[in-house]
Amino acid sequence: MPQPPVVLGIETSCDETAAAVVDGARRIRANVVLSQLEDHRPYGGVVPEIAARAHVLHLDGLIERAMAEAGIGFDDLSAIAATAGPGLIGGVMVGLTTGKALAAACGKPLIAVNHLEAHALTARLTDDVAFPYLLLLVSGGHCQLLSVEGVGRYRRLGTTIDDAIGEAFDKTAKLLGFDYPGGPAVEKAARSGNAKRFAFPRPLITRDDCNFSFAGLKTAVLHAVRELERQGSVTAQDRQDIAASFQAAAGDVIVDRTRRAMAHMPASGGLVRLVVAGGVAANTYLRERLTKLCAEQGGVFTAPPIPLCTDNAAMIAWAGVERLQLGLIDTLDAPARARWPLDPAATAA
Amino acid sequence: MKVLAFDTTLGACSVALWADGAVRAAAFRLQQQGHAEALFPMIESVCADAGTAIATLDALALTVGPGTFTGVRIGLAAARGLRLALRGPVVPIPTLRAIAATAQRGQAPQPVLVVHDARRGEVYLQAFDNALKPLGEPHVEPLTDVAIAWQGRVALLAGTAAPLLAAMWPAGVMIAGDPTAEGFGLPDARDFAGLAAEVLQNRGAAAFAAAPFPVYLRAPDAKLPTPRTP
Repeated sequence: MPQPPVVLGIETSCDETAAAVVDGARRIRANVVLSQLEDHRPYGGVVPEIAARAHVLHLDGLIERAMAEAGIGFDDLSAIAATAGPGLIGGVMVGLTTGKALAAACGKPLIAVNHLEAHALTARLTDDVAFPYLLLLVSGGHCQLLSVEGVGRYRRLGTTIDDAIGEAFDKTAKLLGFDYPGGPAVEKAARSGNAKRFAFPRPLITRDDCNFSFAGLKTAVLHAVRELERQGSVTAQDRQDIAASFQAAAGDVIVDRTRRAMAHMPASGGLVRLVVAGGVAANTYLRERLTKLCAEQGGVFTAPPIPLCTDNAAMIAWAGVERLQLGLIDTLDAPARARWPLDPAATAA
Repeated sequence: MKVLAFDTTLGACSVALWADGAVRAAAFRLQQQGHAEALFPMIESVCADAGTAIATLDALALTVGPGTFTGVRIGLAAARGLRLALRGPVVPIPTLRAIAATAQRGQAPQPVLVVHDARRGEVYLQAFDNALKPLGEPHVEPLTDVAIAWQGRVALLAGTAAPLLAAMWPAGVMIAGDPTAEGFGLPDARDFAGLAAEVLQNRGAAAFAAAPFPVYLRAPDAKLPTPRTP
């Protein structure tokens, strides 16, 4: 029997430097991530130049660690997969160039991976999900609903017309004076808050399409904070109530849009499969809402483990495995791309 | 011994393969952007021209800055990636020293001051003796200060800011190369590949076992947020 392919994955598109080794039998043989959180915290957000400088100093060491943990040498690899976009271009160039160097030196194929495709295919690594499925991709930079029909075959059903959901969480956290990164802080505060105290808007939920909007919700949070400041001070309870009310509104929008998208999906065996991916998929409240939605709609819900929802290299290596098996390899002049939509045919929302 | 040398730090991409005493193949391409796409196809074609498999290289040499931040990192990422697989020594060449090496090509050895236009009215500069030994660290300085500090002390001027500086001195000064020629003042791997091989032979591979580090000379453009006043 032929050995399953073994692929090294490299991820450097934002503020995590990561390397992983994954094989065609869906085994994660190594998965190391170095977060740059502390480098960016004083700035209240990711600074692209600081991120790129950190990637170039740490990536080679992380690759060595991943290879050692996997217990293999470069000759044992079938291919090298690196994120080629979309993302912060300076960081993407570091990872992609490192991948090209290894491919050239070892005589192995290079696979230039779309970071969003890697998120989209993660559920096939963790749960062996069959095509087609509905993907809800929620992160700091994206908020999309996609019909995943095959490797490289995506149909966008909806996207945000303004902010990504992760951005809305981070901006709300900033308004509430929480530390960066704000998403987890909002979720934590919301647990002790009254979600009914503030009647925040649910943008677009009466519309027939599957698009999202979060700018109005963010503005409503801003007004609520200003109003409380005008009346005196903003207490810890106020912050918790705003966080809970905001999260409930965001959850309603996500659930409504996803429900509509489910109706557009071909039901394989009578069931629609919903997969969630991206950094915001780490939010337990949203996971619970989506689990409930699937139960109501007779769908099947899959959410990869949280460390595989946030940025990681195992998903890049897995996307490499999937593409390699289809013969989809790249040349050493493969470009790094700041923008790279999964469905280039989709019209503007 | 086979040494692969490359530069991506400024407005060109260049690659050279040095083997047993001479450059065997080389390529030089002017480009402000696109180094990340151009570099590896150029490395492959230079190695093919020299009949050398990448896996059989003995050492690497690259310019490590100062230069464009992105350009510096592309070279660094390439060298660090190649080093993981090849396990050989890497000779870091300061970019201004590479420019000095190009300036001395075909000339009688003489001291050289390298000034590269760093924009914002500043230059990256470093001085070298006639054996290309650095006389001080590379640094960034306003052009007007350099004009005052170095007037009358320079035998040969090199780098993209050389014409700017020469124009500020009434007596003029000799400039290395033709300022109107394409690629003027830029490093070229064919000129520092041999220098790297010489350094490597003199100091031994063990001295270059570590991964190379970038030389940016400037901090990232990032401002700390001002705290909100309630």
